[in-house]
Amino acid sequence: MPITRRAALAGLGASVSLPLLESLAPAATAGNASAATPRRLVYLYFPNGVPDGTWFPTSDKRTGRIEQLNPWMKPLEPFRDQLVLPRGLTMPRGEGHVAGPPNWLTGLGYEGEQSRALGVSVDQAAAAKIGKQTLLPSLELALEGEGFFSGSLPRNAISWSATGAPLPREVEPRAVFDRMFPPPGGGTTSRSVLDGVVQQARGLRREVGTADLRKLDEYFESVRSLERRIAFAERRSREAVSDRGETDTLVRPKAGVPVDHEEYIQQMMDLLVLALRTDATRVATFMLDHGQSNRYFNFINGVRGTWHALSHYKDASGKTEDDDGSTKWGSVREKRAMYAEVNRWHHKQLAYLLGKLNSIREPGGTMLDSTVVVYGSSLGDGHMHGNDDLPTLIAGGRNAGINTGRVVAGKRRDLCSVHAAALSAVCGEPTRFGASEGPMSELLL
Amino acid sequence: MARGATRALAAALVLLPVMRSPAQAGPTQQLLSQYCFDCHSAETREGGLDLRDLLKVRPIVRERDEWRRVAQVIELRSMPPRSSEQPSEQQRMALSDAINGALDRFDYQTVATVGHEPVRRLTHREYNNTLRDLTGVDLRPADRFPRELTGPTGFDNDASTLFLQPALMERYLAAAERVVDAALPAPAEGAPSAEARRLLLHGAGADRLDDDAAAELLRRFMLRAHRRPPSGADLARTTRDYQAARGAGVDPYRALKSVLPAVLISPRFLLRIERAPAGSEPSRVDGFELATRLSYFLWSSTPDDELLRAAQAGELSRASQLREQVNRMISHPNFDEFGSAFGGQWLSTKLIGREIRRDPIDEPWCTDTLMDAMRGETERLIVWLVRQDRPATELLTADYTFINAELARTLYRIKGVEGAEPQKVSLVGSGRRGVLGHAAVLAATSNHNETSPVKRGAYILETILGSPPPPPPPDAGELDDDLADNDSLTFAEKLGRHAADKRCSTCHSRIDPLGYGLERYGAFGRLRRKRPRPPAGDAAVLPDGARVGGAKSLVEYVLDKRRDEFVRNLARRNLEFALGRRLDYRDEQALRDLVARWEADGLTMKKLLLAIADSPTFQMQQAEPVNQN
Repeated sequence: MPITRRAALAGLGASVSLPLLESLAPAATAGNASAATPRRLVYLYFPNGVPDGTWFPTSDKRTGRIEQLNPWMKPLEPFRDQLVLPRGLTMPRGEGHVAGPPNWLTGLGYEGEQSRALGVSVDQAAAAKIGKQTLLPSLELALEGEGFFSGSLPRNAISWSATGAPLPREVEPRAVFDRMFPPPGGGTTSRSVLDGVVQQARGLRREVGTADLRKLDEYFESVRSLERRIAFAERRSREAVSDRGETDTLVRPKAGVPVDHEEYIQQMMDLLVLALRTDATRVATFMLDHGQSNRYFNFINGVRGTWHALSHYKDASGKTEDDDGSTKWGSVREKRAMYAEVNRWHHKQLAYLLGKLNSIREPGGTMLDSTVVVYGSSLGDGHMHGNDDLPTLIAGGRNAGINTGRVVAGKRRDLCSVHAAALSAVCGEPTRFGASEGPMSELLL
Repeated sequence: MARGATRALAAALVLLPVMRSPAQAGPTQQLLSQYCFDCHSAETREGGLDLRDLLKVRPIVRERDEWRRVAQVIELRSMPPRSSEQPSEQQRMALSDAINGALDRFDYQTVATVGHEPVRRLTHREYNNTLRDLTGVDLRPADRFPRELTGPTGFDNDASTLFLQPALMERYLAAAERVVDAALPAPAEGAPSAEARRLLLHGAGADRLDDDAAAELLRRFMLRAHRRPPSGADLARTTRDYQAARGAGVDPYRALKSVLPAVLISPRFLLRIERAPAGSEPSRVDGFELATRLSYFLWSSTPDDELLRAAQAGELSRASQLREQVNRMISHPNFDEFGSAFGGQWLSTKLIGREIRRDPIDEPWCTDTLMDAMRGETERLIVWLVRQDRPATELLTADYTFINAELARTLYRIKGVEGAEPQKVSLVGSGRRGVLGHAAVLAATSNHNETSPVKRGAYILETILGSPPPPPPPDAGELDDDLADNDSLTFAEKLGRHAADKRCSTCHSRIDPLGYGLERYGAFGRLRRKRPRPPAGDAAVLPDGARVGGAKSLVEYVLDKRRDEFVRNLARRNLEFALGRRLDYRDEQALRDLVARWEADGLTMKKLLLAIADSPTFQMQQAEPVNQN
């Protein structure tokens, strides 16, 4: 199968050649026939919920088969048979703008005073199982925030490590690229430097109290993961030497963040696909905005005002706490339509990602078939601040055992049951997660 | 701990006869039960609040923020919601008085601890400054690290938000190598700067380094990087690595270079670690730990040689010598950082240029240099007030400021200021006074394109006075649907009508009039050409009947009527910043003691920092109780 690196990286900005290239194909297609196609897990978060009635498709009452997508979900039409939408999902231990993001993938609640999610996020649970074989156990992406709260911890943290720490997110395309393909002298050549510090940290364990050991564990874990990464980089560059025959030019993105929001989001998605394609990682999260996004989407025809203000569409007078005070809406109806339009724009971006994944062939299907993509929000209807029927969908994953093309009926089920199902699919064995009794069985084949 | 808790519980029960166990509920509990439990029980938990459960937490001051909110929403009539049964005015007052009284009169000494400063990594700001002061090269590598996120204190140095994850470790390692390369370039690529030579080579040249000198340089570097003398084992390991490089034929200069990056990713460098005290009693931190606390408090950077010397000599445990050091540090150029580290974060002016900015194409006047000058104005005033030891109230009353030509011209309409450098400019004759007249504060408290008296009023209550207004009641969002389509009203007028509504006015009458006092200044702090029309009706009248006319009378009102809240809040925020953690009920006694001491010292700015440096909370450490809530 030809590797179309240029195609995968189209639009990534100024070109810099990398000295060496690893084989871009994952282990399975690089000659090791016995290895199975890797399974992958991707979470995409969007804030502020969706207006009631703009998410679910019509479906066959008996089988749940999707009949017609919701008009606001039209961008996803090409993938209709690869979607599954569970109804009745809730986050009983905290939702909304603040506790919502930290609780979205952890499910056990968020403690504001200590800035701590009370559990490991599902992506990290997956990374612990399927991330050991890759350069990066997981990759955390986000778009740089705009306006208030873009530096707020809870609103920006969906991925939480085993040591109770929110994982830092990469917002700059170049930084994402450099984590996959470290530039020379990028801190991954010097394994010897790490040897001594581990022993220092050991010595320290005797000096600190029990409560502080957690911090030292964080340090240990970081150093260990760096050692693993350096070992990987060494192996990859050896492989790359044998790959020289087909060396192509990878494009390192420009520094900074693209001004055009669509270009920005798609560039990050290109990099995400590249990371999966090259098996740099098998687990990723991507926050399309922080939990109370005040971003303007005025670049969408007919949309005015910030996302969060729009989500309070019943206040057409424009007096929501973080309205800009100058944007006016004619009616509740008009405002609600703009709110839904912002969501539809994001669905279109999701379709872009799914399209990319679907265009990459793998044994038995496409890369989308082996990738479980979960897309959703920690709010139901944004105005009601509802916690019922959280908008959530799973796309892809057929070859990982996801039963797609359907709506799953149900009442008040913990979102954790979806996480457990996704985790079970990518790990290949039934797995419990968070507060769930077990995986939502209807999602699995 | 157990004994303390029992005493505290007993005290709470004495003070709270009305909050006994449900079986023998007093009048307060009966009222709560009658009007609140329906929605705030274990089953319903409206707004996430289970009052029955909250009542079980003893002493009740453990959840004092929650209780304050409860008392506040009852008093301000935003609870119970209109659809529920309403208590009488008398019952409301009885309830809120009982709760507030119990919290105020509680003997906080019985629960006091000196606190625990958890292990935390350096903040990005501290990391940049520390590398600069250690090596003499100012690369600011952390500016491109993943952004730090802030938690409940609003300060970047809040230990509960500082994590060290693999993605950061990669950056630390790369940065360590880059900084060492820049400080000690390969001879073919240039010579170390004079500053780097002084700091890293003690003035020696790369060619004149021998093994003995190198060993001594290593020890000195580790002392400075670890902020304490290196342990024998750590020093031996580094020396061994150095000798291994020498044994492999590397010259002393390059061998030295090869071992320095490891020092800069050592846990003793990246993390701030204090030794755990033996037992559970409070004990003083040692001299090096105190030096480290001081330097990250005042400089956001590492202790310098003089401070390390004083620590080594045991001088910091003597009050007079500690005071000398603090005075010296405040005079030092590194103290300039305090303006942005404390002031910019406390007052939210650090948001200018990042979260708060204008589209450069639509509004070309809003340049990066203008926004730098806006932030700089507030930062400079704070640093100046400390260095000159001015009264704390001058934060609000200063009739002078620090601005450059661009800021004076673009936003303030002040003539005669020249140049890009900020200078001290008199405001006599203008209405602007103190930080509430600063463009950065006025911009941080505005909506995107328009001023918001509500936001500005809430900012004065929360940020300046430390008494945040309650959040709007859950049904507030739907109150004005009738106003929605009325295009003949401006936003401000709609707001006025909203606030005039009886159901809303109890809160808004406490918030909005303060904000109206600043209406002379537009959304980016720009002086409006015309005096704004005063709002209709009573919108600008405070509950006590005072009418705030303009910025000057606003400040007079605040300092006349609410000075104690201002003083306490400034002390509280400084102490939180100094400790890098949120204060809780166990720190209440320490805060009260600090305020009392500061009052006795005259309430000037430098005295506050001196009082903090000299306080038990700052100088002592206590093991974290295992069973912490």
